[in-house]
Amino acid sequence: MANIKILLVDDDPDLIIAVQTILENKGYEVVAAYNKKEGLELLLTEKPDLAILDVMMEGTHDGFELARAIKQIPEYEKLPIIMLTSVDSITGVNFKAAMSDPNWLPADEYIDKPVEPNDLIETIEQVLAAKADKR
Amino acid sequence: MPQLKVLVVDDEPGILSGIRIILNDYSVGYPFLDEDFTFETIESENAEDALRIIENSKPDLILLDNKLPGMDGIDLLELISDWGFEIPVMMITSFASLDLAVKATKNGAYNFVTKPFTPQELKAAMESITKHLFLRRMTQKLNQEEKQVRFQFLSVLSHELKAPLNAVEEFQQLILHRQAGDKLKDYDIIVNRSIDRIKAMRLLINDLLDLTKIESGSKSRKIEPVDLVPIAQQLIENNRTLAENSKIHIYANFPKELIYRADIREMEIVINNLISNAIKYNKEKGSVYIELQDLDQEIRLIIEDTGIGMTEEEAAKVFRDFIRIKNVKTRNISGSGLGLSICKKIVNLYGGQIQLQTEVDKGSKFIIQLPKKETNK
Repeated sequence: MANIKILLVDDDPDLIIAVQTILENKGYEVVAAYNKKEGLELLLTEKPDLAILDVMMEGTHDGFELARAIKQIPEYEKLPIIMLTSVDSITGVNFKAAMSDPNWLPADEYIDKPVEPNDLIETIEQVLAAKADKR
Repeated sequence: MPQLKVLVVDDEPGILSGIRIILNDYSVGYPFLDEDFTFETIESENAEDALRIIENSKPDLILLDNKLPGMDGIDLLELISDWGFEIPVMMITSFASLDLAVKATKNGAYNFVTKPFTPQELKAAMESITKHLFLRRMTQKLNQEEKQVRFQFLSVLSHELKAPLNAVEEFQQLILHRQAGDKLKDYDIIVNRSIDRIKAMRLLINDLLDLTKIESGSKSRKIEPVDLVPIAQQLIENNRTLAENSKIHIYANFPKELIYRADIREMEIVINNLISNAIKYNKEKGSVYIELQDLDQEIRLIIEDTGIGMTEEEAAKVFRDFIRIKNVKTRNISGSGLGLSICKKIVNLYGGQIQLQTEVDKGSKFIIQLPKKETNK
């Protein structure tokens, strides 16, 4: 557990502080970025084991675009991605339901903001376990 | 050139060809239109054929004779509206009986032309119905656009309102689950940041109210002679603490007095937004320069800072709703993203304009020009 590194991308510095606190408390190492571009740069330099991405940053779909960009890098094709959303009610898109569509967004899980600490940790553990199973 | 498809339904070949010839070299123009409307005729001798043409070719206008073999013009008119085709119809009648006129209008005919008609009479009727069609289409388009703009505004607004709630709730979760430590002191940062977010949310709501007030029209506006000098001085004082936090010096260059006919609250909003922006987006130990000028035709408010400035791309969109320039330098600056949009809307109300000169890392200069109209002299 101690060696797991998580990339956290959110344009809201307070959400970064909060989520980072939760993750570090659980022993995860966290690297944080505030936008799509920084996120991609950190991915390449920090080589995280999992990414947690906010959906709506500068652009309304930046999180999705970043997720797609990540999955296009062969090395990170299988990187587990958790999306943090607060946009369901606006877009009317049920992200969880849409996940069954293979052409849909390349994320493993979706969590609605605000995040409940135990939910987040549980989801991370599940996603990491699923990845370990596939190997 | 926009060409309108006109379906002409009449069982007299002479009328059909007459209308075709008249409309072929007739066009309708309006001073506010770049291009004139011209007409292309499609002809039909009975109502049954006409229906098929309406379904397949979707004409823009219909000229319809009442007396037709088989189905009557009036009945066709009723079918057209029953089937939901929104096509303006001009009735062609041999004699304008009141009965027929009433019935046709009830069934949705826009106007009449009586046989026999002169080319001038037909052209006058065409001009009227074309104008009607144009205005109806414009209105539909504007309504659609307005709905879209409003939806977009509400989408972004709800996101902007949820963001601080999310942050504060997230912080509460940290406290509830003792995520930051066992001592109360461990949570100082979190509590302080929560308070900041709540304050920022209150500012957003206030800005939103200002925006609504401006957009709802002039009901609550009170235009009267206002001396802008003491207002600006007071607003500088109000922003003093904010400036001192970053050791920013404010220089003011004001005339003795500057009387302008305006709504005092609107002037306060504009000046305050620009002053607080100039401080917020400044650098440590930077300066803010504020000047009021009383010119012949206009008054000017100039606010210049030595702050972080903007790129051309950022400057181009900074006056739009909910635009906040997001980069490393602005990350921890709070704002609603409505301030400059509100300023611009207010300045527009006075027929004035805002100029922005800005350079990254050098600073920004906002020049507001407000014309002295007749009432302002």
